[in-house]
Amino acid sequence: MLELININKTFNKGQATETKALSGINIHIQRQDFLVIIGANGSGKSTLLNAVSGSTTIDSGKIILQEKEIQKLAEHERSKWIARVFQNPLAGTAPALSILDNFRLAALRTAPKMLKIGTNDQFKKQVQERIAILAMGLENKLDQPMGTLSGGQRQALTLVMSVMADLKILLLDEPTAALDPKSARMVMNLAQQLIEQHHLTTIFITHNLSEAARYGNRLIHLQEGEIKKEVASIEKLKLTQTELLSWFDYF
Amino acid sequence: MQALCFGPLALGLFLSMKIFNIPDITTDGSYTLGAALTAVGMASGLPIPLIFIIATLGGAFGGMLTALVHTKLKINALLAGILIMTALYSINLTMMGRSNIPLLNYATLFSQLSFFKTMDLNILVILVIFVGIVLLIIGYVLKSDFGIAMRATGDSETMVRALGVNTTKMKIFGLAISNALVALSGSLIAQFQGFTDINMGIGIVISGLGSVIVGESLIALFKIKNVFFSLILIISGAFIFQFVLAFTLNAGVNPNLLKLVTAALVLVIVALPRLGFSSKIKGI
Repeated sequence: MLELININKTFNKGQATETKALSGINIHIQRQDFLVIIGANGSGKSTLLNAVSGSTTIDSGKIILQEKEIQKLAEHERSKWIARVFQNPLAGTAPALSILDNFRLAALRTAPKMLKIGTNDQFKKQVQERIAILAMGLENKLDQPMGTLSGGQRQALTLVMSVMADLKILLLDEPTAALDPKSARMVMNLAQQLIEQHHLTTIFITHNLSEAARYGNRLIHLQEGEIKKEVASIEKLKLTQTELLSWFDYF
Repeated sequence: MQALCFGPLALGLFLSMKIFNIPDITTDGSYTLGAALTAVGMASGLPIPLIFIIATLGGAFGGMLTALVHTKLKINALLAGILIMTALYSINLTMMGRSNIPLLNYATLFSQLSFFKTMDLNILVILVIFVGIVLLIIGYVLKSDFGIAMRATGDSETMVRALGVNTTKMKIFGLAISNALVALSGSLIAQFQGFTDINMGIGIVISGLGSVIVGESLIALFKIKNVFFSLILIISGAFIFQFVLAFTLNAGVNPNLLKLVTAALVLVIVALPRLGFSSKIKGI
């Protein structure tokens, strides 16, 4: 479904600060895969995700989504297939706009934004139903600006927003890194629930080992821009946090 | 009444603040551009509606140039605005041929339409209707799906791009609309005061900014969420700002100091909430 073929990316080429972020990455992702990518800071996992979403251009290699080469398309063109939840809860939502307006934009991720009023009663009802599953009582506060909500609430809403329109790939960019443990658990459970419900194909990057052990059917360990270790489905299920920890020579 | 002429200007700056998070300096140039196009149009005997269209398109063109310089050449938005504003000064002067054109002998919007015998009342009613129509159009645009995307562009660019909005295109459209409104204001003022002057736009961005800040304080004060009410309050902001200015001038301030007073006033408006806030924190 999504193929990354020999992806290379170097920052600050030819300068003293030259860093090889990705070198020769090959990943083949099947439909409904839930791929977890772990790695320390600077291992290239964020760059990899940015390369898929289009916010970083790659130096060489191919990104093929459903038989279509997309590595040359701009970020806003790839959004037809790709939805993204950011590490920073503030980046995934527009704080000054109401919850309803945020959802309207999300619902139009795959469509052009026209000069017509889309936030009508019917749409409102649809959003209310979607938000009700969060059980946060937000369904009656659709006019409230996004900025007045907590980070956990905003991350949860971003997740619900991402499935407002059709999507092929869901990118989770350390969605819980800025949250407290309880909110993090809530957001990840919600993600899991949505992924199963909508049969989504997901790439999830994290440096939280317990999350990496608990979620997903595949696991890739990135180090200095290269794939150091890869674990697939059945083995992944047996993998424990302690084993994962031993991958990193922290001690 | 002059404040009503400034209504579109305030709306325009409100838009550029929403999209860029900084006031668009092109305003100084496109405001005069609107007035200059009006003067030239009237002198060559064009009908008033056509003049409004030309002035508006001229402003939109100026805004598009600034947005193109900013997005395609990656030049800081403030600098891009200053560049285009400076360039527009020469264009305006060349178009006008001289630095001041009186329009008293030509038919204006206000002399062509007459609903009432009293001239002042007539002008007032025309302006209210005119600004009302502009307000309805802009309100509709902002409420539409396109408008939501535009408002979000200044708010959270990462999110907007991830949701399939071409932010470059949004900025170009947004600044075009914003400067079109500013030029419309220039055209109204030229017809209202009966002349176009090459220097009339200097510092006008500050007046507009003052109006927007007053308007936004009102929006925050009344916790307004409706787009139309917000726009009405922005125009009320222009009204209050002009009123305070007129008051200071009446109080005997030398008219030569007008720009100084304007700048000081905006400074006070901007600074007051911050000073008040920090003293509260100290109090705790």
